[in-house]
Amino acid sequence: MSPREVTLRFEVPEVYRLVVQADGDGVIREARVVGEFVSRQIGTLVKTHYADPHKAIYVVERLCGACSHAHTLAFASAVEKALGIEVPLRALAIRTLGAELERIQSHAFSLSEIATAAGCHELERSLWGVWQGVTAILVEVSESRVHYGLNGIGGLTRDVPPAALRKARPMLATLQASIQALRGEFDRTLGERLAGLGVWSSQGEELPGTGPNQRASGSRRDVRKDRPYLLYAELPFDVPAREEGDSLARVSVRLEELLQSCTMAEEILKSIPAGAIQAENVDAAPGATLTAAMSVEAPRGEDRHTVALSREGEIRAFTIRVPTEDSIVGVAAALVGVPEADARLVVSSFDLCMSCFGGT
Amino acid sequence: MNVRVVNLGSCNGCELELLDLLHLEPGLRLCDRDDEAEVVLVTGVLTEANRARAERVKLRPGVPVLRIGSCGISQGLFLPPDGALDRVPDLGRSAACVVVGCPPASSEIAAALRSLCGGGAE
Repeated sequence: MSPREVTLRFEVPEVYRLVVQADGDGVIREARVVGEFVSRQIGTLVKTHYADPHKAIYVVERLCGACSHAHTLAFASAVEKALGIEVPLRALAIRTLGAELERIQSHAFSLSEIATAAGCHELERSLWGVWQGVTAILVEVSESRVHYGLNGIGGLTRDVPPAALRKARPMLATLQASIQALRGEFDRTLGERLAGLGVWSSQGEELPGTGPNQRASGSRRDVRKDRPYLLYAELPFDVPAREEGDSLARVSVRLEELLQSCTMAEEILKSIPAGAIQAENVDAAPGATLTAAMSVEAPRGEDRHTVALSREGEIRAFTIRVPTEDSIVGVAAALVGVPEADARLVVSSFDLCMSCFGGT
Repeated sequence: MNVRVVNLGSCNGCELELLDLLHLEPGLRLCDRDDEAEVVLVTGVLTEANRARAERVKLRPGVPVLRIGSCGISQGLFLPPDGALDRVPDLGRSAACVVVGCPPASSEIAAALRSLCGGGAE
């Protein structure tokens, strides 16, 4: 059979396409995700027009609407490392809070897309309720719904008032309860359908990269545990993992991570240290390396930013490696043997981000 | 009402708000066909790879176009200081309305749709 394109709902034709080749029984034999259409060449744009890191961070934030906090965190941390800037503890705590709230927001969106792909609209509405719930908390913390604008070079762009932090705690407790209830609902509604579907097998080898997709296929890697940053060395949390590598395992890992993130956010909210939110000096320290790389565990996995700066602090080189670069390999492998009618469901279980992937 | 989203190269920030919009306004349906669109929402900067695709978008006459967010309106931060405003495609007609923000909130997009379509979004 000749290759044909499968329409993926939100991924309107301008963003990405899935090209599949299926046999006479409608079973996929070969699949390919095509998606360089939204490449905005941000790496180049930063070097040519936003060489000042304090300006570049605004365009770096727009790499992705779903994980912009992770991008600004990796970028700011790389610049801070290169210049030898010490970020105050309060800023580190609030950055961690933002990162875990972002993970909840991103996973809620991703899981609701799976429910949509499966035609389970009630479940999808419940999951979107989680998105709306965490978005309301983010509005308290950052005054923004999407693109929080919290990270700046050397710390935070603004402080979070104590009243907002106090208000966030009961909101988080309500959210946690609704996620608990959803776990069972997901299992009852979709468990059977997702089990064994779209297996990304590690075949005994270590899968490339980190992230929920890899951790659903037996990997235990998570940048927050392996190379701790922010408050992750002190924060108690588990890294949920499964061995099956199917769509159900990917859903289960994300559902468990939602709860882990709630617990972490709760812990941080209990004891955010007082003090400054911004380093006093954001110029290059004596002996600064001027070149550095920083990896963070974004909602989809390892997001790595590498910067090289001049002594005056101007960006000379800048590269970004996003987690979808690894997952896109997995989705092509997992689709082989899947009925064509389930292609969209399997793709949604991988939570690819074509904005990040194509955006660099 | 059938809504066609033309994403020319968005970060997905506007798309998240559009997903929220679909929950606020259950009467809206996403469609990916130009000839079924009753209203068109344009998001994102026009990337090189999407230029030809943008030119292929053929809307029925009289279909209103809303430009959503800084990128959809003027390329936002992606407009380098050397003047590339002409890169924003007009899709054959001028925008009937713009919704400012990065991204604008779903409620703001809903309000714009209501004022443009005279309550048809309900």
